[in-house]
Parts: sequence; structure tokens; C-alpha cells
Amino acid sequence: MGTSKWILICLAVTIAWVGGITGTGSAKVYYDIYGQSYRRITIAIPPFMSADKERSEMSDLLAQDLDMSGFFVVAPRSMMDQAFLSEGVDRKSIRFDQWQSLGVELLCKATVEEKENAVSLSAYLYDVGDSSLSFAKKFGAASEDWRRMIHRLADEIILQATGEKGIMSSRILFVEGRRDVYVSDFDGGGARKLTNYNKLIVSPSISPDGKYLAFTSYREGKPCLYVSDLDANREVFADKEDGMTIGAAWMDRRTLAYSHTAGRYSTIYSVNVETKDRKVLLKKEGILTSPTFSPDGTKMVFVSDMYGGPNIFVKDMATGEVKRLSYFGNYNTSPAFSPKGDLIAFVSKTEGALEICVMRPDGSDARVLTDGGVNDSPRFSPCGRYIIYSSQKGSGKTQIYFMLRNGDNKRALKLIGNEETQPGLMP
Amino acid sequence: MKRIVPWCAAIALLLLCGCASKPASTPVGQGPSQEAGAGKTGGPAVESQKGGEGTISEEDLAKKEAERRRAAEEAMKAGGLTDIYFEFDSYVVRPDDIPVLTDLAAKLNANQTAKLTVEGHCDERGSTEYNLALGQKRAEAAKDYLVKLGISDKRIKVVSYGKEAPLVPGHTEEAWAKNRRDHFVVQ
Repeated sequence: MGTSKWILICLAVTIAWVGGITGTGSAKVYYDIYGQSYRRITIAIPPFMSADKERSEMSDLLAQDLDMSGFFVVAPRSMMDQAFLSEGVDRKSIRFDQWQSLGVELLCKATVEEKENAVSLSAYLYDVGDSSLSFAKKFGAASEDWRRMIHRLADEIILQATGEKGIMSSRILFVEGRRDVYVSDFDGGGARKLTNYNKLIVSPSISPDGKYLAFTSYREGKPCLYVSDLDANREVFADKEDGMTIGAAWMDRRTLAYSHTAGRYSTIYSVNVETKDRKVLLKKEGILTSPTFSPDGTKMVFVSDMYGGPNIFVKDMATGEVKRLSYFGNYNTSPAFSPKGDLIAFVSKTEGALEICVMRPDGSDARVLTDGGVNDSPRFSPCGRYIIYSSQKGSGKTQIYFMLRNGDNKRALKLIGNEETQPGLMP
Repeated sequence: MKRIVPWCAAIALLLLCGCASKPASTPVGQGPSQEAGAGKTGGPAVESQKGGEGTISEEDLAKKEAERRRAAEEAMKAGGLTDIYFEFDSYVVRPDDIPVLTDLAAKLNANQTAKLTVEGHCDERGSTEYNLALGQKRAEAAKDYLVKLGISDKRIKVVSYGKEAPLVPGHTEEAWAKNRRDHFVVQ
């Protein structure tokens, strides 16, 4: 089947499924994951070459990234005989018909140059179907950072093939061993501490521009909410009121919402961490927690136990009207709005397991995405296509996972290897 | 003779506390000091009876009172405090646990300087954030009950650990039941 035919089919599928959402015009849209099903694209990545030797550790990492992304089938090296391997990287020397006969749709070739302590990569992505060059890009990095360079290439290929950048070059935020907040590359590389208290710490949340980190720490013997300016390495805000202060979510670059439970009432506040100007968004008896906001800021979704078990509610910020959204079972928590505002991910207790689910913002069309265990803290990637979450099964440790928003392609991340919880993606 | 009455009451209280505590749950390190405290308190009382009235100086009394208080506090810390437990996703004190709280209130009444921290805990089957709020509610449920029994709310602190500090590891109903608890700590 020709690529152009695929484009037509997928465009039709896209329009049928998502109505209002438009693809980015520049990309070759091979398929659409907003629908119920999608098809992975086959890519071949012959070993990258430097002047005199194979740099297969680089092409292997690219293959691993593209496989992890869930959008690709990577053609195994065993399919490529010597004739394929000895081809050059320029268009003229590539036998596209031969690649096509293997079922390959995209072909990525690259040459590597190493100079002193730096490495550079000239990468070429070819569309096998019409023998065209999709892109030629140069990447550079310090020698020890070659993995990050490959992750960036992976994300460029994902952008080219799907219309949106991948998350393989993203950095991930998580709580390690319940004691400190860490940040690391997606493959676990470059892990470092963002906090250094070695005390119980929960609910890290990074501001949309990556400047501020909010979290609840027990470093003063009781749970308090703190906001750190990561650039200046100083504390800019703290709420040390008695009670449980938790569940921070950013409404914009400097406005944080969080919940406070003490005595009969719970309150959801918003605070500008620079001016310290604080407002009450909602106050009710019982428990209120885990606020999350629609991208246009018109709706606040949160957890309340006002009708018994925890359920998910929405408050219209203009009219003040509060409505229950979750009507399945009696334990629904941890809501997270997608960045496009078309879905809410949440956690639902079903037959002894805690599952990651999604629903429409009006509470309809709920679907369970995970299959057993204790799954928690779902968050969407900035592109909205992935859900990152924590999962614990059997007697194993809690690990960070991600999956496509339709539940396909569940992958565990190999980070530090201790208990890893409450993930987020750095902007 | 009047002055001996409080001493008898103190000894009786110590004995009561001793009875209420489960020997099995007494931390190993705390046992000997509790006995030593009881011995000191018991000793002088007998001596004063031998020596007759009027031989107890104010200084002695103050010293003995301090010792008595310390012994009573140690007895409370040494395992006199039983956890109370909750149903899944509930922050209602179970009727079964009311005697535990009544007993705790009595100990706090007998020991007016002691301060209490109630720690609220949850089992692992719940969201981190919701469980932290739930643990707060569980700790406050015990606090409210103790306040109803006449204990000043200024003496009671609450702190929630949600599901972040389980007592029992493991992923069974038995482990979960033991982790849905309020734990009491005397300062």
C-alpha cells in the first residue's frame, strides 16, 4: 500500500474520530492515535557509521527509543543483508525498491563524526514509499552526552512521522524512595536530586515553565507545602498551617492550586507564588484534594468525599456550579486534565485493583486502561498522547510507567531502581 | 496519712497501666527503665511509712512527684498505647475501639503534662494524595473523641502519613487491615 493512500485513510480516520482536532499541516500524518486503533510504522535503522567503524550503540539506542514510543516497528538487523549495510547515506545510493520489498516505510541513516570531546551526527530520514528525503539534520553534543543527542533525533523522527514531537528527550520528575524528588532522562541517565531533605516528600509539581517546584515535605516534622525557585535555588513560598496540605497543580506559570484539610473543612486555594496573593477556590466539609484545571482555565476538577467514597467533581469557575463526574464504583481519585482538554485521566478502584482510567470532561465514555495492581498518579505528557503513571504489581516495587492514551504500549521506565512514585514530565 | 493517699493512687495507676499494656508489644529497650521507675516510686513510699509522718521534706516530695510523673510517662510510652483501626476508606472510629480511646483519655488525665500526637495511616490501596487527606481525617477522628472525653485539644497534635509509612509490609488483606490505623505517640 502506498504512503499517499495511507495518508488519505488516516486523514479520513482522524476527521471521523476527532472532529475538531486538526493535525499539523507540515507533517506526514501516517496514523492517528486519538482513534481507537492505529497502525505502527515500520522503520529501518542501519548501523550508524563513523569514518572507520560502526557506531551501532547509537543506532541501537535510536531503535530502542522509537520502539518505546509505541509508534514504530523497528526492522530487525537480521533483515538487512550486506548489500543493505554497505549502502551510503545519500539518496542516489539507496535502493528504495529493495527496502520497500522488506516492508520498510521509513529509513533513517546517519554518519558520526568525533572531534576531541564532541560528537556530531548527520541524520537523514527517507520516506521509502516515494524515495524522498523527509529531513536531513545535524545534531551535536559533548561526547558523554551522546545519548541525549540520540533522544533528540528520535523525537525529530516522531515529529516527522506523527505530527508531534516525541517524549524520548524529555526529562522525568519523580519521588525516589518517598524521600526526595529526582529528575532524570527518560532512559534513567543523568539522574539528579532536585530536593535534598531525606524526609518523606509527596506530590511534586513543576510549573509550566520549569522554574518552580512545589511539593509537600515532612522536613519540619509535619506536612507543609513548599515552593522552590529551581533557577535561584531558594524557597519562594511555604504554607505551614497545621493539617494536610497537598495536591499542588499549576494554573499558570506562577499560580499554584493546592488543598488543605484540617478540622471539619477542606479548602482548595490558589496562590500566586511571587506576590503570595492567596484566594479560596472552594471550601467544603470533609475531604477535598487533587485539583486539576482544564487548559482554558474554565473548569476545576477535584476529588471530594461529599457523597461517601472519593469521587471526581467539576467546578465551573465562572458560575461556581459543582457537578459530580464519576459514577462508576465508589472510589475515583487522582484526576488529571489532558493538555488539549479532551480527556481526564484518573484512578478508579475496581475489584481490589486501582486502575488508570480516562473519561471525557463531562464524565462520559470512561475506559479502564491498566490491568490490575496499584496504579496511581496519572499525568499527561505535554503533547497529550501519553499518560505517565506509577504502577505496583504483586510484591514488586512501585515503578514509573508510560502508555499511549488509549492504553496501548505500556512501558516501565528503568530509572534508579528504588521505589519510584508520583511522576511528572519536565516542561 | 493524707499525703500517702496520692502515692497509693500513683502506685495503683502504675499497676493499672501495667495491666493495660500488652507485654508482647512492649519495646525491648523500654522494659527495664519502666521497672526501674516503678521500683524507685515504690521504695520511698514504704520508707515514709516506716519513718512515720512529718519526715518527708518538701524537696523529697517534689523529687518524688517528678519521679512519679516520669515513671507514668514512661509507662505510657512503653506500650500502654494501643493503635485503633479503621474500615477501608472510613474515618469513623469503630465501636470496638472506643474502650481504647477511653483508656487513653484516662491515662492522659492521670498524666496532665503529657502531650499526644495522633498519626493517621492508610493501607496501600488508594491514591497517595487522597490517602494523605484520609489519614488526616482518621487522626482527627481520634482527637475529636478524646476532646469529647475532656482532654484539652491543645495537648493533641495530629499528623497524617497517608499510605507512605505502613507498619506492616505486604499486599494482603491482613497487612492492609493493620495499616489502616491511628497510632498514638506521647511526648
